[in-house]
Amino acid sequence: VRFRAKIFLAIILPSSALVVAAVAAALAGITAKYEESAQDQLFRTREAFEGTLREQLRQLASLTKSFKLPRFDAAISEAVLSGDLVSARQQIEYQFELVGGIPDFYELRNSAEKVLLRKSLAGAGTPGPVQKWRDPEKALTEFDGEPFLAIRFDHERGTLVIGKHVKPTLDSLKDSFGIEVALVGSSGPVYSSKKEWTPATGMEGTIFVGKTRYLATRGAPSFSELATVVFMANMNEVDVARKGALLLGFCGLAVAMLVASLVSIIVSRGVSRPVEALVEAARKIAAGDYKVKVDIGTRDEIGRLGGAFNEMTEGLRKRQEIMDKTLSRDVAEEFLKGTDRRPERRVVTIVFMDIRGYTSGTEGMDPAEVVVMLNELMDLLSGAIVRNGGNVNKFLGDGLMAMFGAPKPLEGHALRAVRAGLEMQKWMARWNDRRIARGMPAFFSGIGINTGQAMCGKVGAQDRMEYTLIGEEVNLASRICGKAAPKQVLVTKQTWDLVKEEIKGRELEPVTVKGLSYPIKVFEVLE
Amino acid sequence: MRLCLALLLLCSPQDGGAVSGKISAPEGAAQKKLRVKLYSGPAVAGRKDPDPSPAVVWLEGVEPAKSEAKTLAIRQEGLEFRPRILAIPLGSKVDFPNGDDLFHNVFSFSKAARIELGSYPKGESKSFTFEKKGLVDLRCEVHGHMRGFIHVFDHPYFALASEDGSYSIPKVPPGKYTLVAWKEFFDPVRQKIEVKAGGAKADVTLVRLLDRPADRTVGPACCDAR
Repeated sequence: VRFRAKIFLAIILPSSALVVAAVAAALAGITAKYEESAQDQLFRTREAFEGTLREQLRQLASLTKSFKLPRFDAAISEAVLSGDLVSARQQIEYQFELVGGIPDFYELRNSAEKVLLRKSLAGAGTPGPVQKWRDPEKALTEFDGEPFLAIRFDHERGTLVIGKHVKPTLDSLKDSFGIEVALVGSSGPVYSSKKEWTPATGMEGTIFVGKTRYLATRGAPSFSELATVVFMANMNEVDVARKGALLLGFCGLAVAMLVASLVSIIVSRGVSRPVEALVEAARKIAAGDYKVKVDIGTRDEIGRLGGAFNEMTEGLRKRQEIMDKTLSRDVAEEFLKGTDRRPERRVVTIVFMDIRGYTSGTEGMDPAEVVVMLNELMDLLSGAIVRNGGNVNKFLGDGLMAMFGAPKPLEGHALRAVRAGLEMQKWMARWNDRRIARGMPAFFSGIGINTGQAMCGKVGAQDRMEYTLIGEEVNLASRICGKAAPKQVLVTKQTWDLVKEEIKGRELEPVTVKGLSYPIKVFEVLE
Repeated sequence: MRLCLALLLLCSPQDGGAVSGKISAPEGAAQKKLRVKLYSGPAVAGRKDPDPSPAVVWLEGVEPAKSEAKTLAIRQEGLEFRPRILAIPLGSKVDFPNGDDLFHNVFSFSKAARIELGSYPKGESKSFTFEKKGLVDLRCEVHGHMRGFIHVFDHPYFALASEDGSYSIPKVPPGKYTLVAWKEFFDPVRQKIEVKAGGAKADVTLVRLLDRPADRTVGPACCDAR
């Protein structure tokens, strides 16, 4: 699972980084593109706004040329002078019709600035007070709360103001450029193509009308009396595009995760299966099974690891074989428990065996033949020891030392040792019978057995140790062995006391041994 | 001669006397500009200096009285109305002969006389009979600078001033009147007078009509109509 997670991370991290980078780039691109085009559109709308209004203003101004025509001039004079406003209006409007139509707004004042005739969007009502219009140099103004382009004509008898209602122009600007336009006068909005918009909503930068985002710029042409003209670009499209890019990014991440999961599962399965097999094999080896073989079946690194593993197992198996031959199982296990264990004092039974007349008996024999013979004999004798639960501690050329109750404590070690000694003599007798039958010289052995305390443990140099028993009782066993006659098994009193219930034997004359000042009681065991 | 006539009138007590005086009209910048504009006008071949533009005085609020209708003429000559100013009794007929080598089209939108004579060439004449009192503003559709004024009265108490501004309204019965003085480019001025057995004397000073440039389009520099 951890390996799979690593592969997953190894795929998902770079790919998600890529996706995130791509989304970020896309967002930046979208933002830059749309903001730029919005700015561009705002600029173009502003240009068109000014251009269109200027053109309309020019037309309005050129209309005033007609006011100098004799009939128009006479109509104005008459309207100012006569006081008959009904016929004056008819006369003036008739003249307007002749020169191109009645304007959306007109206002005729006499030289005392009294309004004589007036027409506004509401119709030709009763002339009221002079239309508020502070600066005739500023043509874009507000009449009756509506946006107008206005121009003034000074006549010798009075003043004629005409105006063009620019709401349709502004509406068509919105239609052709998709930009919202709003005009703000001194007392509030005069026109707004976006009904929900008010000056309080904002006039510049990023503003929100409802939930829709707008990019707004403001500015009024030089000929405007209105405080502000606001242009607003709807940024909904860029917001939608942004959301789309984000969604795409999330989808990309999800796909990357899916792919990473699948790939990590497939790849990790290809790796973890052989690894699991290796782990299983290694566990078997740890448990002592050296026959395991792993079959990876691939030629990659893991396959090579499998091959190396098999070679290693083979090597271990060979070494184990050697170990099995040179170390008894119990000793081997004792070593496996660790080399730092201190020797311990324990009651054990020690068996020494020695071939009598070995030197004289083997004289003149081929050494190779001697080795074969010794191997044959030791095989037999150690078999007897092992069968009785003892361990051959070491082979001593023509003899051996065995221990019962070490390294593992052993119930009835003395009895087992004695039985092993008897069995050894029995086997040796049979072996000699076969030799004699073949005309070969016979060899006989003496066996000494002692029971007592000894230091049991690993002894030797740091890099080469062996398991052995040390103590006076061990020496005593060796001495007793030296005293034993061929075919004889001698035991000390300590051993005899432990086995006399089961074994037949007889007490011999006490013997004196080297290193001890007093004689030792010995018994010969018989069966 | 007019003085002799006035003296003669003075001798007749039931006729009261003559109202006479002088109209002074100090010309301001605006009047001058207008006058220059209208008098000099466009440079058209054959144009000659316009006729003088004398003041007209009359009494206001007098009972209508029949006076003898006349037949007069305003020529169109040298691209001007000649004479420029006319004061006539009600019912008078005015002929408008064309003396120029081009078409004129005399019209008026005035309430006192809506005139549409149409266009006609040199040598032809059309006439109009004035049946309403009031001021008639005469224009020529072809030549915007041409101006003429006809004052139509329903009583005999009116006079055309001389070039120096002196005037006299003869045979005014004794009583209290309002004297009105009118002159082109000026606002009319009303003045109370009392006519006694020996007549009355009233000098009038006209006030400026307006003092501002006319025929001018005011707007941003961008909309200069060319």
